[in-house]
Amino acid sequence: MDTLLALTVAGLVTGCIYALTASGLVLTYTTSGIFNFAHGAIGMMAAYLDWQLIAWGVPVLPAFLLTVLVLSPLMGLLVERLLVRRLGNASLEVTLTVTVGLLLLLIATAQTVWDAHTARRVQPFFFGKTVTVGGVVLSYHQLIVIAAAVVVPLALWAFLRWARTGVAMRAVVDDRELAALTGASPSTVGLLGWALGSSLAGLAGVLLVSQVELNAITLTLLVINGYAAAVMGRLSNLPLTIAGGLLLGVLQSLSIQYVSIGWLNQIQTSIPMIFLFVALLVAPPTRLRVGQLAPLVAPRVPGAKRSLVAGAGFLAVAGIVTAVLPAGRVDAFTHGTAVAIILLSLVPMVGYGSMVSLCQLTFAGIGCVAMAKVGGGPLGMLVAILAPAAVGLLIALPTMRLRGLYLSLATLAFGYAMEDNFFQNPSVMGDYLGQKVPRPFGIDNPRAYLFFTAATFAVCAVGVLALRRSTYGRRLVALGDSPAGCATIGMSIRATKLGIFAGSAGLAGLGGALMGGQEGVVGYTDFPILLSLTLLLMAVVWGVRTVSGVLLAALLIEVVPMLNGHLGRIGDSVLPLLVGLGAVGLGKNQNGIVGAVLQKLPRRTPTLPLPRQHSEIDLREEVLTSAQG
Amino acid sequence: MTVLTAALELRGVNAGYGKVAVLHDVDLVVPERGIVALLGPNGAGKSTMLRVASGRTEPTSGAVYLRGTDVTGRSPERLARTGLCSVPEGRAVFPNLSVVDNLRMWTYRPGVKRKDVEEQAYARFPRLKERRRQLAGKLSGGEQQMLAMSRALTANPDVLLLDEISMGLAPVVTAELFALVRQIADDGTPVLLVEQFARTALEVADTVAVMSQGRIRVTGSPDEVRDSVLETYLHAHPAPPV
Repeated sequence: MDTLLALTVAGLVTGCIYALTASGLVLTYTTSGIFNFAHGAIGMMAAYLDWQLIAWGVPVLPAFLLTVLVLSPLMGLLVERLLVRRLGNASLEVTLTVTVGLLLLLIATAQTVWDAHTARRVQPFFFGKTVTVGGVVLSYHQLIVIAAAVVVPLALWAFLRWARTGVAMRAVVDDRELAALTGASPSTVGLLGWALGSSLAGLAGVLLVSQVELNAITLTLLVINGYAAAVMGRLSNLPLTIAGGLLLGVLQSLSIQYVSIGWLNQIQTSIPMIFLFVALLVAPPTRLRVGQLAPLVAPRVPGAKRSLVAGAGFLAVAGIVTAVLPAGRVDAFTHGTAVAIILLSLVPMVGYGSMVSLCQLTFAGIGCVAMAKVGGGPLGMLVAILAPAAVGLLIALPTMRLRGLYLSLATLAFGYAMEDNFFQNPSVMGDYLGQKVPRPFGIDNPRAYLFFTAATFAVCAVGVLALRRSTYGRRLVALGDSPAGCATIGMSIRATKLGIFAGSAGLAGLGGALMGGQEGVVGYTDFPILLSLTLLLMAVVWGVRTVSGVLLAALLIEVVPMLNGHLGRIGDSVLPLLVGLGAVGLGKNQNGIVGAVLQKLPRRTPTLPLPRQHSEIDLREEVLTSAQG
Repeated sequence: MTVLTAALELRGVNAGYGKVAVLHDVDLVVPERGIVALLGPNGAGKSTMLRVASGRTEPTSGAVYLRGTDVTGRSPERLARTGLCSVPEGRAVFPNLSVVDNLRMWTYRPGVKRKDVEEQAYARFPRLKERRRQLAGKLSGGEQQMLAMSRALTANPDVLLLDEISMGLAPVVTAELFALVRQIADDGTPVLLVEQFARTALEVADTVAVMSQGRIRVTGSPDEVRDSVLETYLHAHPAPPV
């Protein structure tokens, strides 16, 4: 009984921190409409800044106040001014990518500035002092956490309830334009929302840091756990969000003692992600929005003849490259081409269907492991495609009614839980030496294997383009544009969605198997969710709507690390930095770099670019006017 | 200030969305007193004109003057604080805010006090006082329009822009609304009223401007334009394809 009580209290304390970070997330989401994926990274940065201030000799309390009240809000202000403002009403994959880019950028910055190999610890407040309440020993630090979790939400509630600026914040959420017409400034309100939200993330980060070691990735992922609580509050309801945070903390704490499933070795750490998944499933379905017009003109889809010619051209180039490449570079190019196949699996899903999957590397990993278990023959290749496809179907079925951001979060929860329980599971990956992966069809010559991988890419790419031109491809695009429209014309959303999940996962699995074959051995840390995010980011930055875009993205992922040797420690940050900058540029051009270039090229048929940022009523007016004039 | 200063003036305004031009060289004067009604068929550019006047759409050329000051390109919130009160199309209230909170939002104009707004609004519309704790979205259409109009009533604006306030309301409520607009105008606030339904507007307005296809076709007193209004509306130009 005592253990139960003690664990519940400990869980409540962690839950308080989740509640704080989730409230911050909800605040930024409601005021700006953008889900700040980097919320966790902002909390992490705050923890590092706090440590740095203390290391410079600033006393604990001033350092804490400076971090939470000045530095963290400042980060929020910068993000709002430099990134969020440019996004306007950008599509989901762009807003997600930009904030994911920010997340990776902040992690890279932290790892560059504060060398990750040095252990750093931050003492809890009033270290060593405790009180005993009802038989449970509570440290002063835990009391402070509880106090913060009581006082801050109450203050926030009072502010939103009674202050005019608080009322204005709610008004902007309700009707941005009308708020401006009454004289409240939506842009100031947006700034305030980001400053407050970041401050809360910072508070959570600083309170968390004494419980774990100062590590950029661990801290970021810990704060990300709080996202589950925000989803329970439907990203809008603060009291429910806080309740979700507390519940999550308690569940996680109790599970350490009472839940043990032998073959799922990390089930306890995955509780937040299971919680997130369940919260997504039980929450009421999002209503379909009618009358939305896709603001984007997608890049032109090449015809059958052109894509075949391009495919043949690619093969020819690949053949020459295979022949002339220095021996030391062959493996990197093979790896890059395999990554290109994984990225290609994003094109139909994200580029055509506008469903943003955050777990593509998980599918790749499943394909890789499946082939490793079965063997490199034709059967193994088939299993490498079918196993992830089946898993894709399993994910698609429960998430059928989820759309947009919620669907993405579900894939995130899945990928994150798989990382802990599947890829880090000894019964899957073998011991610490890792799992041996055979080369498909026993192609052991590195050059032959490179050409084989390139040929696979070419075939798959031509196939993806053919898919886009087919009826199914048109359905996919229609589904991305307007699910409501699809439903009204009697199109089956279900079949289209199941198909794309299975197909995309299968293609990723094939890429994963080829990648594993090149590496020879895969281990516990080869399929992390953060790498899935990086892949998505690169694909979107270079153009996830085009095959050439993802090919370039994959090659860049391989080429940039080659520079690392020349740049020293900074080299590790070059890729995330480039990606982060690319993400900033996305705000301007949402088709990615390749998409932007393609649109500059002359077209046979002139098109009328759809202007952005106005309502359907304006569009109706405009259509009528242009029809008359 | 000269005698000729208008409350609101649009001079040679061109505006549109992207490459599509909607307004072509529009000139419009809203004098210091009275009601100007802007009529025109669907798609004539009336709402765009109000968007330009309230700062929500920047004109590609031309200028907007508020009491003789060039305010072209000023943000909507600055214009609102200066004294331009714009009630947009549809219900111009915050549906997820309570009535009291909505009234709180009417206090952004400097000099407007929270207490005065509540007193005046409740005095004119006792129904709002009964419902002050309710969400505005839960009010009836007429009550929502009352709440929206309470902003015009309490802000004492330099000029009042109303966009199709009668849309979707019962005829009785519409008549009440227009009586209120008349009263506001008689108390000294100049009004620019955009309407699709010509009859009601012709009854209440002092000056009428008729628009079609992004241009102002006729301007004059209701009696002067009454005959040409319907002509402009129905015959002179092809009906828009619907």
